[in-house]
Amino acid sequence: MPKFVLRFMLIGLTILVFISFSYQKIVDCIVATIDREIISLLDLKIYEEFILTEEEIKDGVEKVLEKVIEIKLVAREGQKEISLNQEEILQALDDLFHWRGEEKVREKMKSYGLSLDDLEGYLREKLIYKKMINLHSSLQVGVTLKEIENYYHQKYVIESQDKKMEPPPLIKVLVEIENQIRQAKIREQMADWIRGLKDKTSIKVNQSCLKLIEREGL
Amino acid sequence: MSLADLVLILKLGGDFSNVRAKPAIPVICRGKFFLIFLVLLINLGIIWAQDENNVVIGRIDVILEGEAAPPQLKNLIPLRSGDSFSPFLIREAIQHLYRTGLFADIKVFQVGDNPIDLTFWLQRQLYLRQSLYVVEKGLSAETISREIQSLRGGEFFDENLLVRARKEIANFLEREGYFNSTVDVAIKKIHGTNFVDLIWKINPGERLRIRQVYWKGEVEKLSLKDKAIIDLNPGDEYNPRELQSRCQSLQQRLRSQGFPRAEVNWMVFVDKEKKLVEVEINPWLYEKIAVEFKGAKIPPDLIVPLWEEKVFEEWALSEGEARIRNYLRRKGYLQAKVESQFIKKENFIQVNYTIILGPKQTIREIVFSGNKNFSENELREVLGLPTRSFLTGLIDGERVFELPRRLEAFYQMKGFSQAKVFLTVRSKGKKLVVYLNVDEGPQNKIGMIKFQKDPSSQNRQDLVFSDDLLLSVLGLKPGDAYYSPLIKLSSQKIINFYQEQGFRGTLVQVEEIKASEGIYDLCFKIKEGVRYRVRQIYFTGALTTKQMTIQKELRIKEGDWANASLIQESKRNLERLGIFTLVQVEEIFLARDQLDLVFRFYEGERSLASVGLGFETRNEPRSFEIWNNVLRLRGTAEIVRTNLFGDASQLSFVSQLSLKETRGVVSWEQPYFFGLPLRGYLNMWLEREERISFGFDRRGLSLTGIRALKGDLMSVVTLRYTRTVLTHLEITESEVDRQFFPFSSTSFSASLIHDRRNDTFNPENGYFASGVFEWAFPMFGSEADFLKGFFKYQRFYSLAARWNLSGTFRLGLGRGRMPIHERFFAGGSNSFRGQEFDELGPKDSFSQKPVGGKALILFNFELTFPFLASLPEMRAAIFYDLGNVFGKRSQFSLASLEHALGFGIRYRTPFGPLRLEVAWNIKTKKPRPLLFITIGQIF
Repeated sequence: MPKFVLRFMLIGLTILVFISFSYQKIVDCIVATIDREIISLLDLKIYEEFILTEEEIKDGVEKVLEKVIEIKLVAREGQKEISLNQEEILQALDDLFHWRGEEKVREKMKSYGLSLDDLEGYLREKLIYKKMINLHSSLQVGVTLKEIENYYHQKYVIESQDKKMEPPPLIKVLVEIENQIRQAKIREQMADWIRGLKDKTSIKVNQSCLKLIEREGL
Repeated sequence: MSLADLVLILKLGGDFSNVRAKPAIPVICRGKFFLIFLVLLINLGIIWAQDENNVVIGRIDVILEGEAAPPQLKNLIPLRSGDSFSPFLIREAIQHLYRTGLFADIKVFQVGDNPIDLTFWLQRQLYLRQSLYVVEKGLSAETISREIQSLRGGEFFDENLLVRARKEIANFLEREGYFNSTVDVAIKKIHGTNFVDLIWKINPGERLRIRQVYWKGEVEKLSLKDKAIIDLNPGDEYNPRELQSRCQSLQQRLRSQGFPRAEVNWMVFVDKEKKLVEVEINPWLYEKIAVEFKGAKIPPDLIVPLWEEKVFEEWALSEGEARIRNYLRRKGYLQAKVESQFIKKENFIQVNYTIILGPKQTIREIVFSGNKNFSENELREVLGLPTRSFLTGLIDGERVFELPRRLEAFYQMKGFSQAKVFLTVRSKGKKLVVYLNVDEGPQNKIGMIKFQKDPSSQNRQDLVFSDDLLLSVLGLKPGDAYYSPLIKLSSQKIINFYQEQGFRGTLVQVEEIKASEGIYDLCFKIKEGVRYRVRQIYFTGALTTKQMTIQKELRIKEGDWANASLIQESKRNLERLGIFTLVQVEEIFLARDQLDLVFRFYEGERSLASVGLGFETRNEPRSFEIWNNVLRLRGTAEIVRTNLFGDASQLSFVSQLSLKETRGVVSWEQPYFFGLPLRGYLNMWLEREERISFGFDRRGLSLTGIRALKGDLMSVVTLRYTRTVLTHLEITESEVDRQFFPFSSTSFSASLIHDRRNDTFNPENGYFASGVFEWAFPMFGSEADFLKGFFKYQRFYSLAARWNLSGTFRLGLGRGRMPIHERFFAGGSNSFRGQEFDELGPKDSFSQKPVGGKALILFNFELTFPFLASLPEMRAAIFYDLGNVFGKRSQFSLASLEHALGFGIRYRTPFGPLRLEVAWNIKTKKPRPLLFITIGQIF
């Protein structure tokens, strides 16, 4: 092989090696802020890895961010009313190990530089969030007969007809419709409540960090 | 891979001149090629086979908005070269940087694998410096700026906040009746800083006009005068705020006419195309309610508000009875009986109260019995009862029924949990005797007190502080009275103590264990938090104020334990400078038992101007030697500029004008007098004053230092130079008193002031004491050579039922060459009310004008009491003054004092009482009354 080709290959290889090591990559950035608290890229990764379900992470970064903001807001509100004991935290940790595999979890924690205490903080937030949601969901929500009737005639019957099915009499589906309406009302109430929490907080999303995440495929 | 390796590779790769033909072996294994590949493999192998357990941080660079940041910014980052690389710690570092409030965005990039070089990319947090308004018509910039709550000078600026601010302005304009308004804003960034200015351009738009006004509801019950309050006609401008105000006025008027439930509502129908509105006014009067009182005069305001809402009538009646009974008891009718009656007709309610007053009695005696553990005096002190009644009773008839409950609460706090107090009242004609019989019961006491670590504490070591120390902090000891709420409160003392030692997150729970009958052991379980040191202290938001000025007020420094009380003391000191509208301090916790402190400042307005017209008593500029006061109609103008050079100093110009005097004073005020912890004033003034026997022009220069000492003690030292020319002199000239002859004086004075009055302008309790010593010496060509001392003591007593007794003593002594304007004068509303202003003391033999003296003694005694029940701020007073002024100290004699007696009316204002007084000098043969009108206490 001619000398110059060899030299060219060597130089090229060396430069490639250098580029790969001198290329700046993002470690962390502020994705969003809630008052004076930040949600960083690492927080999103931790939430995706350890806290959120598959269902919650499937719709992309922005949906994940929305969920994380919701959890943090509710947990912040819940800290005033709800206390957790150590057993609950340990149980949550056990569940995580069971769900993801202990070795895998510990490996990921190591790569993030997370200690068990640090991870506890995130688990705590999710636990308080869940408790608050349950608390607000269990509040008595009334459903009137009129509402059930309206739902039956305006929705249930029409849906059955669309499916080319004979709609059962109201009396048979009364309880089912009542539950559906109640669940919908609870969801609406929860959404209103969370909207209220957001209104009284300063929440800023940092588009430049989101673009970086997109660009680097993180 | 290092540069050296690269050079080696290139050198090796470049030199093939010595390659000879070799047998057929792979190229890769031949000579230099083999070396090159070996070097490459070794490097790559080193890289790939990194020990993942030991990845460290290499270089840390900080970039601020594209440029290398100043070195001190690097100190903000709680990471160092050589630290283990941890994404979570980097995340914490970002959180820490964000919390300082200096940066709006932070990104961290890495280069390399081990060591990893980090680059912190920072973007400044913007602050709003000021908002400027260009308002096209109608409204003032000041009105608009008051409406914007979301964006204020000195606060964070974010473009998202502009949306809120726009909404606030738009809502305000709508409330004022404008529509089609336009609001534009331009952001002007101040180069090289993190401040922005906002320039708002507001066009309020147009006002809607009224097309028609409709009346609905119970209109037929309204008179023409009632309707005239709304006063809206077609063609008028529509102003929602004005409409609301008029409807509320009408509502108030209807309620005062016997319709306490009246409501006036309104609706508006807007035609935006034609820019017209139709207004519908809906008055609803509901029932007319008449309240009648038989047997006593009761203010209707006591009862009528009960009926304003639709209430359960039985409740309103019994509540009304209770209120009337309490009112009458306050007046001394303890045995009053009240019955109520309720008659309802269509749209009319009649409420009748029948009152049997009974005798008016005063409580002259309160007798305690059953009190074994506390003396009667102690119990009187607890209940705030005087030992004897003066002209009124010991306590009013309403409060006497609260005594048992208050006494029981006192006994419970002292460990007598089962104490009961019974009240009986016995009548002796117009006098009532109250008997308080105490059944103390057994006392509970504290047994043992233990301190232990809370079982949930992760740290297994013993408590940091000894039991003895914690016991001294607690303020309790075995044998003390046991009262559970107080014990729980005392846990907070331990938490506060830990915070002062730098701990945060300490929790204390107390377990109260009944050891035996009446003995309770206490076990304090302490979960010690983490002890923090202050790593760094940052300041933000101080646009004008210098860092040195701020640092002087700090009582905590970097490296100290994070003592919470010192941090708060620093905050208070900064607030006391008077240059910040708000001072906030935030603790930012770092991972390694360290915290940073961030002080955020919002600087206030720096320029103030005021103009006033009124009455004032004159003070010498920045002096506490107030014994010659004259009530004058005066005008005052003042201009003040604060925080002049960023050092909290203040420059002010005050001018005062009246018929008898003119003054202009320039003052320079400094919180630190030449670097000393002494508040300093440099004053220059020009004044002209007309007195009874002389008038003068004076110019002066003084340097004053004021320092607060322990408790409420204050010291003032003044160095003064004055040059006085007597413009007219009504007494015989002398060596020191010469008309038109300038007299210079250089003097040094020192004062001590102890002020323990409960209120400076309207004191009712406490005392005031001051002593001034002045030494004038011939220096800088001055002629003055005298020594002067003045002492004042005032005492205020609050007697029962708002009767107040006060006494004032003044003593002045001087020696040496004292010109007339430095001598003591007395007479007038603020010194001796038996003589006109300045007229007390020796007179000139020819002109009979007062000459002043070198000795002064004055006593003033005053008793004030309520005058009219309907005017609680008005009080009556009787007073007795005695004193005199003596030409020489040798003439001083208590037998030569003059006496004055008088009475007056006082009206209490926030600036002191307005006084109208009549006095007689009872030493003269034919005393004539002297009338005085003054504002303020007899100083």
